[in-house]
Amino acid sequence: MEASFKKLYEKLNTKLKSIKSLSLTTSDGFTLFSENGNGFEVETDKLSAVSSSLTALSNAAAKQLMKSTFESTFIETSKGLMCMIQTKYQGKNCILSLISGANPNIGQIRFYLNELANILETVSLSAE
Amino acid sequence: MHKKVAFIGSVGSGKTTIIKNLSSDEALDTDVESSVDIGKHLTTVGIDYGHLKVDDTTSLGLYGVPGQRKFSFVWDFVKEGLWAAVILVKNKDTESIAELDYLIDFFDISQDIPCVIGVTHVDQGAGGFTVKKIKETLKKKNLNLPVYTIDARLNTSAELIMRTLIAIDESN
Repeated sequence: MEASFKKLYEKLNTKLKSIKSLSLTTSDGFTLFSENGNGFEVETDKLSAVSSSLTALSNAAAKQLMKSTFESTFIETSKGLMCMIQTKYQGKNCILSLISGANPNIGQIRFYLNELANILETVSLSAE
Repeated sequence: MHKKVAFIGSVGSGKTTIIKNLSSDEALDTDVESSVDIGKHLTTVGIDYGHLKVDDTTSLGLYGVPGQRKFSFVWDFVKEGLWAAVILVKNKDTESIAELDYLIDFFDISQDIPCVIGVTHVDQGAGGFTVKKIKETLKKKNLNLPVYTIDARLNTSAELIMRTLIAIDESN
């Protein structure tokens, strides 16, 4: 199955509305794919580096403090939230990050992002 | 009293190894698989943290930062409130040697805070060339800091570094 990251982003945005940014990053902080909503600007490299660091720290907290397995990290702000979950792409550990607009529905975001993470584990993305 | 020590240096210079070596408890690490060739399988992307009890009243928090500059936002909050810094330089590695200049400026290294430079991977050579280059950099910045050739895997090296930091602090 081949898809484009842009189409996956658009499909997700019809369900969640007002996604500002969606990106797929290697676990060591390199951007693989990134899409931003209209008018939203973010430094992609910085987003990838931050996602990589925060996910690694969350992983360490989950394992060493909670004796559990990391699932997701949420950062809540007055302007929306940022969510990071682990996934795999072409067999390599990756991070899927989403930045939402204001008034996000956390439950929906978690559900659809996990669904997308599962798709990414088997899909091959075109560069379109 | 809890004091903060930063371990800084380029990728693969031995920061994670020396913190694991020094820490009294199991050190926290944030290593992940590297997706590009950086000469090793794992790389730090968050923070390494270890804890060292010096005596009944003093303990040290050992903070290791990622070597890649793209993670410099992590450096920003590690550099706040530093008691001491350890800069590791990979022997005969021109990028690691060149990075020293940048790191000294970024972390505001001066004679006022205890700082030691360790040259690692010295088993691949005598280390004389690297030490010379480091001293040239320090001279340009009017700094006089101890420079040791060390093996980050050995307790003796790690202890030498920490004893030196404490001695510098006591003499300041």
